[in-house]
Amino acid sequence: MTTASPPSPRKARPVLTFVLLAAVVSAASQPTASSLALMGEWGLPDLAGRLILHTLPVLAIILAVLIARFLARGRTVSVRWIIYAVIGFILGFLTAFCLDVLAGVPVDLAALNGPLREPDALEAALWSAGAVMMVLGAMMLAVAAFGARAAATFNMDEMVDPEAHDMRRAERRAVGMSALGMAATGVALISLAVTRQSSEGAQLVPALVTLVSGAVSTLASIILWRGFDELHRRLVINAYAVSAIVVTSVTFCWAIAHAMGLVADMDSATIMGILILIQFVAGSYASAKAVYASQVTTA
Amino acid sequence: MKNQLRVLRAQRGWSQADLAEELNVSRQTINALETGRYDPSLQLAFTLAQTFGLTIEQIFSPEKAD
Repeated sequence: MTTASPPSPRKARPVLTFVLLAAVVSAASQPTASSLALMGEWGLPDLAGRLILHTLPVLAIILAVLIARFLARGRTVSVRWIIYAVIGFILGFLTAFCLDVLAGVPVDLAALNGPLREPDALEAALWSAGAVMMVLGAMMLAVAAFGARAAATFNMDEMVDPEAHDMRRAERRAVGMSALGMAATGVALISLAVTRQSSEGAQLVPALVTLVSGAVSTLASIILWRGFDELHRRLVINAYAVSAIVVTSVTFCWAIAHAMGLVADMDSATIMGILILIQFVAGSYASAKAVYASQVTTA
Repeated sequence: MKNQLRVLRAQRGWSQADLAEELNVSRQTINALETGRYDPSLQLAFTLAQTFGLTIEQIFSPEKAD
């Protein structure tokens, strides 16, 4: 065994990173029609309205990062995640109100694979959950590739050894595999929504993308499981046990409500969506409580 | 369960990563054990005792962790 090496300083630039990300989001988006109409009702010229709608989310993201870092100072990871989730929810709502972030994506997909009908509530949820998972997967991939510096940038310090201020190769590999699994699940959810929205003749390609990305996600889970130690295996088993109980309860109540004619029949995509969501929440909560809850950061 | 892992590890000048590597578990597992948020399997408890050259009872006690 060797003794611990002295911690190396981190030179992360979280605010600058999020400013750049926000600028990219703003540049790649377009104002929503309803928000533009509202600006018009307020007497603002079209150009000024567009400028405000493009700028507001960027300024809000900068402000939110500063507020989040201030509020999270000295908190445990569980509390930090709750703070980030609340601020992220508000930010997401504001950005969605101002800018149509994915405006071009359905148009590009339609050009590639034929027209898509308007998404229903479930498909909109699949799009949203898929996008969140892809973003999280990208962030985790950056942590796996760049280690402590990227972890500090994204406030994911809990993934880094608190003593050595660095990540072992095995930890990086595990984070990278988790990132791959999460991103693949995100792609599978979005391509499933696209399959549902496509016309009958154009469903084969998105269905194949769903199948392949689902297989990649499953493979990543198997590789991760084989590399897990007893703590992580127990966390996964606990998360699945909670998911099974919750899903059984939800589907049981749904079946009663359906028999009474109160709700529509639940299809397999809905059950899958609920299952993934519950597993994600239960797994994150179990990890935060058992693994990271004791760690306090000044980030 | 309470345990003396943090003290024993510090006495030997080992980092969490060092001990994790020795036991073939993750660094998070060592952290969870030290903070009393995870009770090890019997097999891991025996391996820990062997690593420190102590008995299980000298490392772990049945009282609830703080």
